[in-house]
Amino acid sequence: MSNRASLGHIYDQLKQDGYIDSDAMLQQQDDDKTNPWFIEGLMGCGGWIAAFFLLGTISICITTVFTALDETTIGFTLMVIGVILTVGTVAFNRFRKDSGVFVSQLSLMIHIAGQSAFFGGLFVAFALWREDSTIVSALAILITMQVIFIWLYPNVIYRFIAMLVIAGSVIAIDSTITVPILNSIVVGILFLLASLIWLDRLPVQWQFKQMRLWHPVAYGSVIGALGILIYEISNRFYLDIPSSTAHITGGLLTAGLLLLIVTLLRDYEIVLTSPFAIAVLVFATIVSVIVISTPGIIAGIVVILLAFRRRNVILQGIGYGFLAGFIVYYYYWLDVSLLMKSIILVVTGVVLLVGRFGLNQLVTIPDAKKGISA
Amino acid sequence: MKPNHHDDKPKRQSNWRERIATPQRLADLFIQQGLPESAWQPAQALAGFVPTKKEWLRYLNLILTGLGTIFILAGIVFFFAFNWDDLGRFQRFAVVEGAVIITTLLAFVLNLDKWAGKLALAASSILLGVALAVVGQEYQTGADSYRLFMIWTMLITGWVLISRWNVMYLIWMILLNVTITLYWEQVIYSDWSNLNLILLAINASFVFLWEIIGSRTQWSFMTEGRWFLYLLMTIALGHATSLAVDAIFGSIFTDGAQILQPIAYVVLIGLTVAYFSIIKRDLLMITLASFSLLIVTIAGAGQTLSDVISDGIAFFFMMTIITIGTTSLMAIGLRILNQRWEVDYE
Repeated sequence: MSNRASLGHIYDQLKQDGYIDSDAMLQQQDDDKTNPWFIEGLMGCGGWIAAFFLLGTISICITTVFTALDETTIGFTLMVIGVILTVGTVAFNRFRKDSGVFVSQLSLMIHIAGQSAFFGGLFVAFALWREDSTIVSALAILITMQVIFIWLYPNVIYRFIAMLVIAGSVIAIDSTITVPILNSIVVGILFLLASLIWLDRLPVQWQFKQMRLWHPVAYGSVIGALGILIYEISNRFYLDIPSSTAHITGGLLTAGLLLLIVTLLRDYEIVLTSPFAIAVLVFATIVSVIVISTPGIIAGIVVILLAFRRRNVILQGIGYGFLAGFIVYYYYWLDVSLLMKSIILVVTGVVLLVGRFGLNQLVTIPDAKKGISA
Repeated sequence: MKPNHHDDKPKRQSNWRERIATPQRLADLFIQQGLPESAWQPAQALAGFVPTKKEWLRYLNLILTGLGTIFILAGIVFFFAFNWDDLGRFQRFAVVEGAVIITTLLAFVLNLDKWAGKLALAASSILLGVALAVVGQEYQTGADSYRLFMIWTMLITGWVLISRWNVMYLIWMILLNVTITLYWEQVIYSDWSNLNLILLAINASFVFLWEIIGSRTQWSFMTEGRWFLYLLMTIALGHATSLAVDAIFGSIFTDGAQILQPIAYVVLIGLTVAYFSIIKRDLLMITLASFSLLIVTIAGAGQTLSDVISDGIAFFFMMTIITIGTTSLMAIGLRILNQRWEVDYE
């Protein structure tokens, strides 16, 4: 990482290129108070453990009082406690922005406990577990709560967890009332959201002013979508998830992949009707059609491309890991014989290698200063 | 020994202009200096956050070649899996051992200094294990599975030594850990604390030995890519922590390792902190040891307080205070070291 540009160099270059007024005065720049990630990790873990004990203290206090109350009263009391903890931590974090990692993690745990108390109270007070429709309504409330608090609660870890809770709630809705199409749609939406964020398609102000909001949301969207895909394939033969669901998901992801490629081609000012652009789009379609019954492979390819676009090593690791996992899963896919699978794999491999040679034929790779001729 | 101050890591700069651009630092610069929106995209390009066309083409070349090869190889594996029952014993041996020979030859033809050669050698090492498994399957020797891993570890030792690649050493260490664990499960089946002690000693010794040899020889493969040392130290500290916690709560297994458990823990923590603060500065290693110490402190406090305090509310409240205090002290200590050493961790 040491060969990256310094902030001063970037500032000077922007000034030289006319993006900043040459007579602009430098404002006082805050000290970089960030600790290395592992020290933050240690403090975060300490915060979570401390919060566990603190919540233990509060829980024992509450339990002592609750023994004399009926279910409805307990439910409403829990909801009130939940609201107090949630609103309190939101206010604390919004007004005291530099509270340090330890306090922010402690506050995060209390916030999550507050939301859990509210949601648990809601379940108990209105006996929501009795009917499938009320369970779904409760899960819909949970999803709405997460969407609201992603905006309101300024914490990176919370925003990431909230996206996972949304994905988990979708899975729970599907396992309650069996609507597998919902999985496909949500996977598509989550990937679209992640692509919008990582391809810089949000308004520019949001990109730098709200970076701490959008990046965890993007990570959470990708992990959540991959989680839904794992759920979908692992339950394909046990729950009422028809194999056609995979084709719908695969179709949506193929559309997403093509959209991603079109966006990248436009970003790099490559004409969509040029032989190179057409070849890339046709090639991506062929590969997607071959593996459409295993949408995880297409999802893995989308993640890898997004990761490279952002130069994000973590995301690349997730993409490659997931791709490898889905190829292994493919071995156990029961719809076709091993012979057919081996033929599909070899054909896909040959198509990829042909694509590689085709790419070299279509594109001249000149030196870095001239760019490419496509 | 001369202190090694981790020269491969950039020094942390107190002047903001000298700081390396990260996405968050760049965003902070835009907010604090009130830079115009129109400069955001060019700034990202200047910072190198967006790949160039040439880099995209290179990457596409790489993934198309890599994925194409993996898919074809996987297809071949699937093809043999489909026909496995119809193959004779010697045909099966020919398939797996042929793969070992081909990958080994490829490793030397492609040159071990290049990625392709290294990957071929790693593939050969893993395929050797597959070949041993096929031998076991064909002859149904009834031998314990630890023998397979033991022979596998022994056979690839030479390749590991010539590989000059830490991934090969990691594979070797994983196989050694698995061999010992399986031996304990299948042959000894008692004295589990001793198993922890042995694995602790092996993994920690490997890390310290690697550091000492690396600092004396300055071989590049030993001084670069420290991630696998962190992984092995985490394994060693994991065993040490479980031994210490086990000693605190009283061993659930009846064995003679009780006295050695806290001693081994104290020695490892002491050595780690001393070595990585005096001889070779490495804050991540010290943080790993600190995290282990935090867990053991909380366990110790919990055990002691549960004997003294009978009231649940008071117990949990005291534990909260102790956890906050211990974490804060550790964080302050680590922050002081970080500021003193001025290393820019990204």
